[in-house]
Amino acid sequence: MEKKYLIYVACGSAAASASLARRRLIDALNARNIDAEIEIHRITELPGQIEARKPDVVIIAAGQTPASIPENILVVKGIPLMTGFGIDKLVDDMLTFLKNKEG
Amino acid sequence: MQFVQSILNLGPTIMMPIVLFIMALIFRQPVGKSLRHSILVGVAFIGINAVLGAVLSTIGPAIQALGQAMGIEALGTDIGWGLASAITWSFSWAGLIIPVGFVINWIVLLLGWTKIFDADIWNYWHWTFTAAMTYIWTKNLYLAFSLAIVVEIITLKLGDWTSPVTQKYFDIPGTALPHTETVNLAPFNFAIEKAFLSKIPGLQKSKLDPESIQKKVGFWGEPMMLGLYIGVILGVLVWLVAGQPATIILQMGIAVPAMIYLEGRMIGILIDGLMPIVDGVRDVFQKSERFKGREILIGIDAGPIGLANPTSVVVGMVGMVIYLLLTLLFPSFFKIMPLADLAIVPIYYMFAAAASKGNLVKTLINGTITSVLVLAVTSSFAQPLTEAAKLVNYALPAGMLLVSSVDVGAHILPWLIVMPVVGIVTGQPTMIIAPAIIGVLWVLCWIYAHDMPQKLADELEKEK
Repeated sequence: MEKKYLIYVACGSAAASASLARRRLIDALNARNIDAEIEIHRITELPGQIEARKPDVVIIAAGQTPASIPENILVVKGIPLMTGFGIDKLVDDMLTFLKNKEG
Repeated sequence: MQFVQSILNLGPTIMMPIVLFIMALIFRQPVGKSLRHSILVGVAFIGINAVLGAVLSTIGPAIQALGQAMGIEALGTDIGWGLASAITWSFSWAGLIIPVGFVINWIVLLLGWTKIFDADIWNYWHWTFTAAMTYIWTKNLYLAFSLAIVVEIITLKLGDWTSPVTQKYFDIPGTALPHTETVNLAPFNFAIEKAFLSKIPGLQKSKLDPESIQKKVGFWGEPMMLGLYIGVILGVLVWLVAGQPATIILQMGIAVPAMIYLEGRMIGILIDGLMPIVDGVRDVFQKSERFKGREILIGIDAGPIGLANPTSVVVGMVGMVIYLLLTLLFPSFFKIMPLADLAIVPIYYMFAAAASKGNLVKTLINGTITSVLVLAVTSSFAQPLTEAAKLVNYALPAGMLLVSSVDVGAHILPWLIVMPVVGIVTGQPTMIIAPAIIGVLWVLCWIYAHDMPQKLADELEKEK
């Protein structure tokens, strides 16, 4: 069985736009038959949430990346999830990286 | 025709899903996806109405009583941007703004007047709001749509103008922020920085690091927790000043965070429901060959960008206190108690933050100057917004005389355009004076500060 990834989507508000980003990510992952658990967090809460569950990927949907994310976690700039343009490339690159890491 | 009218009369809960479903099909989205998301929109409207009824029956009368104890006949409540936008989406013609806004954006792009394709469909509500306010005062739908289009085009131009610095400072390459209620403060913010703040020697070096402050604040600064503090503070005031039982402190301490938290959730559902339209608009744009090879910036929502910017967030927390104090000190002038939108005050400081490249003190001074205007416009739009809420049958509790939202008040550009036109059309010259003076000042600031966004972007590039 393939590993189920844990992905954090982070932005400033964890409300309106984050749910749009989350929905877009889910759709893109479903289209590739990838099963993943996605959580939305506010950027300020990231350090604590990363310690708590250790996600495979952190996607920064909006704004600056906080300096304090551990190096072994993949950080992706998620602007495509905000704009709607370039989502396929973002998701493909992310999955390639994750597979290589396991392999 | 009678059938159509009777559906329109059923209100947004029924009408919006139908309108959006048809629109999604026109944009060639799959039937199943369109249906599912359209239903979500109806669900969201029911949720919004439920939240409104549940929290306002506590908050509204308490604020009203506080106002009366302070000698103000009607102290209104800030119901938040979510509810305010839901009210403006509730007009039978509101959904039309989406295709109209899209076509106008397309034309303006073709003419080469803008580089922006605005993919932030949800925030087309800024133009809907412009139309709604015009409509309430004039009942003229053509005029309402015309002014909405004018506001859209100017907002796109503001997005173009600010894009060099917003891409660099907020780290969002390839995008622009044609987001009316934030970017329309930029002419003032950039002019204030250029004319005054950049010339005061003591202010240029700030030792405070916003990121470490923000980290220390942690979850104590999340919107729901802010609601708790605001609710408790106002509850104490209602108890002491208006002489209500002390239990009001506990009631407000739950009702205000509930309003902020639940409103955010309901709008999340509504935005999820708009997905097919958002995707449809994007697909049409993506498939078009017309703009290939041209530099295009994608317009996105400025809200989450501002709320992710440490300087704006840290300064915004001080800003919330300033908003409350200003209203408590001058209630007869500001007329609306800031409440739900206090959680997003940081976004009204984000262009002040960009203008100073993140200098905390300069951001606070600059953003507070423009915030006074935001509060004044909040009260100026209160009466038509309240009327709109009643017109579309929102469940305002009995005895609630006035509602508005700070975010509505941040719509400075719509205010500058709508007020003078309405004043002329309805023969109320007194409506024209303040917006005309501020409008001239706004234009002069834009001209004076026209070089700022590029200059700041160049400086940020060098500092890297």
